[in-house]
Amino acid sequence: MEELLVEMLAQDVIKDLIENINNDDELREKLDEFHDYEIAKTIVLLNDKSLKRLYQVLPIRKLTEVFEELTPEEAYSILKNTNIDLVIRIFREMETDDLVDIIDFITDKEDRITFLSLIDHKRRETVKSLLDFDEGVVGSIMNNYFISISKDDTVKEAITKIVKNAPEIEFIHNIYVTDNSGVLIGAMSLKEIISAGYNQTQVIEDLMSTNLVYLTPYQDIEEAIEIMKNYDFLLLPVVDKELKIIGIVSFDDILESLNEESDEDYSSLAGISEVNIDENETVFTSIKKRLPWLVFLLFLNLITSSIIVSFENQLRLLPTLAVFMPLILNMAGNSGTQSLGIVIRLFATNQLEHKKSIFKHLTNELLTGLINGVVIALALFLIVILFNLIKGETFSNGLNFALVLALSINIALIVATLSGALVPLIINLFKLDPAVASGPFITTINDIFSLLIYFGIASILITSLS
Amino acid sequence: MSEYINNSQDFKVEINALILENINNKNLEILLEDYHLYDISQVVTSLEDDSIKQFFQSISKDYAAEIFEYLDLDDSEKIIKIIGEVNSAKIISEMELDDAAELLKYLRKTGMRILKQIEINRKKELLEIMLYDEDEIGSYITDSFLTISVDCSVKEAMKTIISQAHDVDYISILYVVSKENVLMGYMKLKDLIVARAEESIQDIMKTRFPKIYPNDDKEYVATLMQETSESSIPVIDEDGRIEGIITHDDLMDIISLSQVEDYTKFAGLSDIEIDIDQITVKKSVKSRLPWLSILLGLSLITSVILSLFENNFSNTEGSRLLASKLAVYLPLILAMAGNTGTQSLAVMIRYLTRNQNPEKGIIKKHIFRELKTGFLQGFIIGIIIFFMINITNLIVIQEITSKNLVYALVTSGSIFIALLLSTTLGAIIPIIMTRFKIDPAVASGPFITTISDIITLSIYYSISMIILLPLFN
Repeated sequence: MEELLVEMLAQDVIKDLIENINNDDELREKLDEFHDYEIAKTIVLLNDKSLKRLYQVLPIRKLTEVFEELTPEEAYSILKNTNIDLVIRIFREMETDDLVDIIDFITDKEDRITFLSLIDHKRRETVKSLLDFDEGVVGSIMNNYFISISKDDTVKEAITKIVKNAPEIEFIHNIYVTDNSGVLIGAMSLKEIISAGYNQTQVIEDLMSTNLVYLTPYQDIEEAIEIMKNYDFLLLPVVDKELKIIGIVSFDDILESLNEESDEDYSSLAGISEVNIDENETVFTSIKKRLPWLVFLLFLNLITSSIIVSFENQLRLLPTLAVFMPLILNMAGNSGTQSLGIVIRLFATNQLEHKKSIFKHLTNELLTGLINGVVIALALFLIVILFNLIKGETFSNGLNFALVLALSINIALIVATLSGALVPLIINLFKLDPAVASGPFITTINDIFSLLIYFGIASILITSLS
Repeated sequence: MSEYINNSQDFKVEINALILENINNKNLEILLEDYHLYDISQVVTSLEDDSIKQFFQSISKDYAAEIFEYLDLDDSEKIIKIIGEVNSAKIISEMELDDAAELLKYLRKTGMRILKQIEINRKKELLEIMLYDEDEIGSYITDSFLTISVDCSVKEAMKTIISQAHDVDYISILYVVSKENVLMGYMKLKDLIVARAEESIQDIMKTRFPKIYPNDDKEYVATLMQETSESSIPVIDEDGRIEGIITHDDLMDIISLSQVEDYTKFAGLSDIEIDIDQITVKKSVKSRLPWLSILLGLSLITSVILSLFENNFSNTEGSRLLASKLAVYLPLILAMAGNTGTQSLAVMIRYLTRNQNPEKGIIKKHIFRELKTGFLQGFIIGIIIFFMINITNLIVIQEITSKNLVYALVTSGSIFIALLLSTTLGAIIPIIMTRFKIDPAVASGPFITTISDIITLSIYYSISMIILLPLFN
């Protein structure tokens, strides 16, 4: 009880000090006597003016320690309304676990990504991994190294700012222009500023271009890649909900993501949890990435075995059925993989979000499967007839058998092509991990379908023959 | 996401209105100044033929060239048909070298006719770029860059830059050359800005930086630029003279193109259309059927092999029983071998794309690792299968005969060998292909599955014939 009283007292004293001492050094010295915790308890009560004053006086180190004393809820509610530059600086100083707590507290998805993106690049990875963060958004690849100038700056002032910041910043091709509250309102290329160098008194606002292309931190990286490719930009600015500039994405970040996106496509098509390796990959890690999938597929494949068991009689009557079994399964698997390959790309680029486009794509796959099926079936039909003639079978026997094969492969290809597109969609619909719909999975599903089709048609033939 | 799209759509609507209202206005170009050329180019392609014609009459050839640089090749072709070859020649000669060369190549006969109307010096430059193979970096050379003389001071260099910045697209990196145009060093513009005015360029320029020859492979250059994080890279000839530069947008094109190509092949397609609105059945069939036909041919080998074994397995009742038993696990073994092959193939292809020309020692290490991985995985999967077969037998016929035990042993042993082989093959095939300068991506998933089918099947039936057939006869 007594402690609480002291704390309450301290709050009033600190508030008083901030409001009444105008000398920076004096205030800093006075505040230094209080515990971080006491200042933290005060900070939530301050009005905007006093807050600003506090930010001005406290060194960033001390200010960060104060923030570390706040609950994540309090810290977030204050940081939400704080100047972005300051947030970046505080985040740079803050302990990683406190950062994680703050980010974890934010429930609004977009705010969460925005705040996450304000953490410097290296530590962002750690924080993200601690939070199970959703990859693939612009916020996870942006960085805070950009130059922004005010619309009221003259060319001369702008150049001075650029010169001052240039050593720290990797790419200065574009300079971003903000209004007084940090809202992005224009951009200039370094080239334009330099060509304007003749007339150093011109104001930036009159020179800048105002039709901007920008990103938001929660936008898909795939979209950022498209924009950068189309517009040939080297840098793209990233803005928050209020259009304040919070960072940039540079072409080398985009290229790195391009590689990662591509890795993902390969991983899904090959049925492996991570396709990227380096020289130091060990056998153990290789097995860890692959074996779980293989065991899963093994059990799935047992279905094919049990199908064949139930058709064992047909196999004994007509052993030649086994001769063409691998061919039919393989061809169905291949066309399934092909259509899966397309669907993986369409998913990655978010093109399958509307019912209309899904329907259109499925119709397209059905027709493609139909045409491919007919052509391959015709080819196989002719080959089998030839095959049987060489083997010395009677023509009518060979004809019947060729018909069974052609019909089976035709239907199997149609089904396989369609399921290559449909199965990932169904898996997505039930919110299962889309990685389940990998190439090997689709191939196994298609093995099952194709076997049923093949033996089903063959049994009809055998019954009709006997 | 919607935010960006809206804001880009708004621009397009504004641009469209602006163009249609001022289509005969000589100041149209200035009115459009505030918009990005990409958006403008997209609007222009959507205009009526007549409007396109008028639009290009109103704007300067320089400006038209810049718009052309953002157009797709087929859109450029459409516009060239509308505005005529004479006008096009004037525009194309103002375009950046690599874009112009690419367009002329795409236009074939029309391109050759247009080329004839281009001024002789430019024609020579264009021809030189056009002669490079599309895999060579030479076809991406840009000549829009700044050089500064090695003996000038920072102040003089700044002067050159300020006076030339207008006409050059790319000024972030300055190339320092001798009187003979030999590349001596380079400077980032930002370093020049912070340098003191009286310093001499020679003292502050950097001399260690990547440079390339026009015949270098484009994917090698892309990797180099990515690793060094350079936004542009100079191209020099044998005497060290600078010929041009490769810029970040070329890099982006090269990388995304080669990734799409690789992925397409890996999925066993010959062409991939990633825009859902552009997909047609005709395109789909065209991109898939050729591969399917090749794979059908390869698959037939499995049938031929099986039919060779068929006679041995159809003489007696016992051998017929064995044949049907073998067929039961055949799809499973083939599928598992195909799966492991696809996995290690994908890993290897990605590694080779990211690391051009790795050392021999590292390659050996990879192969050895895949071998061990295949061995262990084969062993584990083999053991599982062995128990599965025996358990099934226990349930179905309530006993394990020695015959069935041997059958289980042969089947699981075959799986073991098959997994070992296809895991290793999946890694070795792309390496061999690189050795013979074939793009390793040609070894697609379906290709490796088919090859592994052939091998696995031969193993399974050979072992069965030797060990099981005498038992069942």
